[in-house]
Order: sequence, then C-alpha cells, then structure tokens
Amino acid sequence: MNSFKAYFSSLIPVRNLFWKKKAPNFGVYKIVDPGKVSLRRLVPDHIPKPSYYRTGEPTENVCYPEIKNEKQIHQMRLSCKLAANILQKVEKNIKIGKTTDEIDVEVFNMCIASGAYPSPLNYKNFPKSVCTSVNNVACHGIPDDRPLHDGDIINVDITVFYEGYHGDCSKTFLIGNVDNEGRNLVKATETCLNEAINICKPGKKFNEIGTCIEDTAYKLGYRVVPAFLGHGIGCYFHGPPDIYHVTNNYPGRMEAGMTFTIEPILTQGGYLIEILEDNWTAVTADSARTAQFEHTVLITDSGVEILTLPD
Amino acid sequence: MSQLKEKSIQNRRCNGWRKTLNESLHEIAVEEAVRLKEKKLASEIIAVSCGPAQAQEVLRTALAMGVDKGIHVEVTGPEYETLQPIHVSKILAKIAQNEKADLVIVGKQAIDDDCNQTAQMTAAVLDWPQATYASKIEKGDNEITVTREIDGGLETIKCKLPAKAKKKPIQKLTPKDLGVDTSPRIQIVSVEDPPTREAGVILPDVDALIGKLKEGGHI
Repeated sequence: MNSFKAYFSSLIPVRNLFWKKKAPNFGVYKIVDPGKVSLRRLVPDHIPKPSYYRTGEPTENVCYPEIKNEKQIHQMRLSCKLAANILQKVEKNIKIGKTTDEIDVEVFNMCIASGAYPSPLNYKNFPKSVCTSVNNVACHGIPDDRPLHDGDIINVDITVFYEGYHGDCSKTFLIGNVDNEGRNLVKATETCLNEAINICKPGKKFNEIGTCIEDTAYKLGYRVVPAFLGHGIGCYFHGPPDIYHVTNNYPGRMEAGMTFTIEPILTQGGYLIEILEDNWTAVTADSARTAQFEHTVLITDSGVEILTLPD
Repeated sequence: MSQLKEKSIQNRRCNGWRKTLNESLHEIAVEEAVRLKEKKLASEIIAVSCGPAQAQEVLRTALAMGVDKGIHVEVTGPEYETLQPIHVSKILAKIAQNEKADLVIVGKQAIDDDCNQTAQMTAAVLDWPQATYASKIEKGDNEITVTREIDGGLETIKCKLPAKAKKKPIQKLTPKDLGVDTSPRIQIVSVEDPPTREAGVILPDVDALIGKLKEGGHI
C-alpha cells in the first residue's frame, strides 16, 4: 500500500491551543450580531481633547514604560477614579431592555459633565464613547440599537481623558437571570484579574502576569484570548509595556511609578477570534461567551495600588 | 480599551466570508494531515506538542480530530522561557527519526514570537527536503507536490519522500529523553538595519552575461 505516515507538530512556545471543539456546554444565551450604530456625538469646545481627536491617529511616541513623578501619579489617580465612578453609575443603571447605545449616551454625558473626554471616541476612528461587549463579543463592541436580554453578560469598558491623563477600567455585568456557565465564567475572570494584580510589585517581570492569568484560568476550566493586551497608560492611551494575558517572554520588569492596565478576556470555548467588517468588533470564532475585567494599576515602592476604584 | 496584537490568531470577516490572516495555526496543519489520512495517503498521524501541562490540551483535541497518537514533550518553568526554535526543531527531528515518520507538517508561526524558523531547522537537522508556506499538499509515487504561497503568487514544487510506517494515545517525554540540550542558545548582541543593496546591471544578451560571470570569477 502506497501510504506514508504524516506527522504534524505544534510550534513552540505553545499556548493553550484549544481548538474549535463542538461545544458541549456553553450554556444558554443569545448570540450577538452587530446592530445599527447611531450618529457620532459632538464634544463641546471647552473639553480638552486628546492628540487623536481630529485624525483618529495618536501622535504620542512612547518607547519605554514611563516612570511617573508625584504630580503625574496624582493626575492618574484623578482620571482613574473618575473612570471607576462612571463605571459604577453604569452598573447602577444597567437593566434588561436598555440598549447599548443608551449606555453610550449615559457615559458620554457623564464624561462631559465632569469636564472629561471619553477616550474611545475617535481613537483610531472608533465611533463611540465606550466599548460594550455582550456574550460572544470578546471586546471592542460598538454601542448600537440592540437591547440587553435576560441572561446576557455585558462588558462595559470605560476610559476617560481627564486633565490630560487617561484612566481605563471595565467590568462584566450579569443582566437578569444568567445561567451557571455564564456566572462561573464571569467570576473566574474577575479572579484571574485579582490574582494577577496581587503578584505585581517592583522588580517583577511583566511577563509573569500572563503566566499567572493563564494558569489560573486553566485551573478554573477556561481559556484566555491571547489577541488582546493590557497596556501602559498616562497622557497616552496605549503605550509600553505590553501586558500579555498568556504565557509569553515580553522583556522588562515593573518599577515604582509605572502605570498600566491588566485586562484579561476569558472564554468558554476556543481562543480564535474574528474581527468583523466594522474593523472593530471582535467576536469569538465559535460564538462562545467571553468575560473581561480591567483595572489600571500603579506600581508603588512596596507593591501595587489599584487606581480605578470608585469612591 | 484593550490593545490588539495583530500577529496573533485572528480572522477578519470580509463580505461574510472568513479570511484567514495569519496561519499561525497548527489547526491548518492538523486539517491537512487528517485530509491526507482520509484520502488514504497517510497511514498514521502523530501530533507533537512541547510545553507545560497545558500543552496536552491541544493533543487531546487533535486526537478527537482524527490524529492517531499524541506526544507531549514536557518543558516547564525557566527551561520553557528560554526554549527557542532551534531546540524545538531538534526535538521534532529526534521524534521524527524515532517514529520513522515520512512527512512533518508544521504550523507557520507561534502567537508571540512569530519566528517562522522551526520547520526549516527541523528539515536541516533531518537533512530532508523542505517546502515552506505550503497551502496544498498532494501525494504521488514516492514524492509529494506542494503548492507554496510566495510573494507574487503560488509556486508548485515536488519533494522526494524518505521512508515508511506503523500506530496509540499520549506519550510523555522530556527533552533529555530525546537527548536534546535545552540550554539557552541566543544572546542578543546587537540589532542593525540590513545593508543597502547595490544596484543591479541589465545585460543585453546571454554572451554578455557569460562574460560578466567569467569576469567575476563565478564560472
């Protein structure tokens, strides 16, 4: 018989290459498709604008993770607290039937009322002021006319630009009666974020965050979506260091004065994601649900401080 | 808002069709192998995965997809952090020899370091012919025809096959079992731009070409 042995390998370093399994138990939920996006909102003149306001492209060029001085850290505390407070108000007002566009209006108005600019607006031409990612949308969901259904899980990702500094945080909320699979996913994601924050301190390698999150997620039965990273933050929205949420060998160590975000996305299914035609919305290829939590943290002399905590 | 890392696995949906951007997927390698088996061109498929315990998961799923046997080469901790394509290629070569494999199919790039070296190095260690960037594999008598994606289109090449075959679940090994030394090999000394290319010369005919080559001592 003219046959031969075919032999394939997976490349190193191997991450959790979880394939598109026939999902046994993703649970009960609605698969989300993009809806109709409303017109872009106009920001009043008196609000200080970030560098990318006109063109969509940021002009900052940050080469190394920034070590911030006392004044900069003080400003970071202000913008991060504002972001956290806005997120808290969104949590209070969120309910079944509310459209993600209505959440966008709320966030936009709250930013303007506080004298802040909603950072996502026109960042690389993102059309809205907040990212709303429901169920199978992994992240960068665009607010539209879809109402929230009973059983949805929604991540609301808020970033504000206040007095020249960005503050970034997000949470995944449970809408109505969410099934056990959904609840466990959301809880696991928050656990992963907290575990990762707890290991942060001066001298720790950035890449240990990824190992910590991936190991914790794996033990709880989930995969991490590797495509999206945390980032350094300050006067610029995104900059070094790159914070991977999977095992990696990104170089560099944490130092006191650095501020960056940790924002793992966990999924019930495979780690493949697709970017839709709007060039933003990231959905899981197997339509599994995802959850995400995010904080902006500051590395202090002795350890770490979460900046995005509400009053 | 999360930062998107372009190099990692993702598809972009264009006009409703999925268009694979980056073939860092062994998924494609697996599918191709399973297809070869379905066409009865392959008698046995073995999946190899190197890494910590989590690396076994991919093997289980591969087994579910139709692979006959899985080999997990366990590499953990600091050894794992400094693992480079050269170590992997030696591991693969050793396993290929032990298992008397005829064909090794490898995914193109890994998520984070994008090195795209392992396939070529494995072939070099084994001294086998290699066809990279393969998009299609067909088998003839004692040779395979591979369609490659290169800058400017598709290229079809034929490669001779070495030898023959046999069959089971997941076998666990360490690099030491295979006699592979995993001490770090690379130290980044410097990073420089490539030297600028010199302009070429256009010659009028073959005689002139031969003359030029003789001048340069090339023939």
